[in-house]
Amino acid sequence: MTQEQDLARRITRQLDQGLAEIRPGIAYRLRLAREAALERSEGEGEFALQWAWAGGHAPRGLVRFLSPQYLLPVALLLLGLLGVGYWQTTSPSTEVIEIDTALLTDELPLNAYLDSGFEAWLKRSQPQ
Amino acid sequence: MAQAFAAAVILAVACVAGVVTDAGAAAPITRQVRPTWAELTPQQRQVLAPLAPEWDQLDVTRRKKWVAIAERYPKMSAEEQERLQRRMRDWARLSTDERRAARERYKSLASLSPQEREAVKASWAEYRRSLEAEKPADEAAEAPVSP
Repeated sequence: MTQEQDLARRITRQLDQGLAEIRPGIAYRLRLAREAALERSEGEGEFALQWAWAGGHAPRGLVRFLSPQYLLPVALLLLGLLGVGYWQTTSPSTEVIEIDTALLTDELPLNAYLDSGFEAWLKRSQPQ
Repeated sequence: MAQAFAAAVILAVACVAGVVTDAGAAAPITRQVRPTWAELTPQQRQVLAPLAPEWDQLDVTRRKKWVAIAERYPKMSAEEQERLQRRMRDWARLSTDERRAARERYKSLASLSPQEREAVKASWAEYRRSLEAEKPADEAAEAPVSP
């Protein structure tokens, strides 16, 4: 038997002896305190999904969707999407930038690319 | 409080949506479109100088495109730089359809081999000569009868 086990046995013996000799009034108060403690601990341990306003008064119907808890993330998401959309719709594509740069600096003049007659001329002169 | 917040959100979203909707509009641009000419760097203004008179009429997408082209300017040869500045105003004055058609033709010619491209250049010179040769007859035919 280890030293710890021996100590535990002696403590429990003392407690049992004390319990046998305890006065009824004290035993009753101890029981009440234990029940109250158990009751409190049961309420704290539970977990459940709740609305953000849980504990306060919950708005009903569509009104609750007008509260900042809903509108703030929705507004941020919308603004973000609109920002991305604006950036994409107003940004020229890399292809356009590259082609325009090449066209404007090419050895052939702009008219060579604008003249549909030249295009037809090229097609006619190509060997069949 | 919630209603006021909702109104503020709706107003903000409407403003941003309005900017997006108007971005590609061809109507005269009354809203401040950026970058403005004054907001360009001195180097960008120097490169894009031929566009200065038209800058206020360009929509935001085309302004961004010209700024991107101006950023490539320092890497171009002197000859390319000269061509770019000489052509940019004519290019900017073309209609959207004309620019689109020119880009399509460029793409089809860009896919050719270097030898074929040289042949195209020779063809252009030949085509120009043929036009010059036809011109006097055409002009004579179309010329108004003098009193």
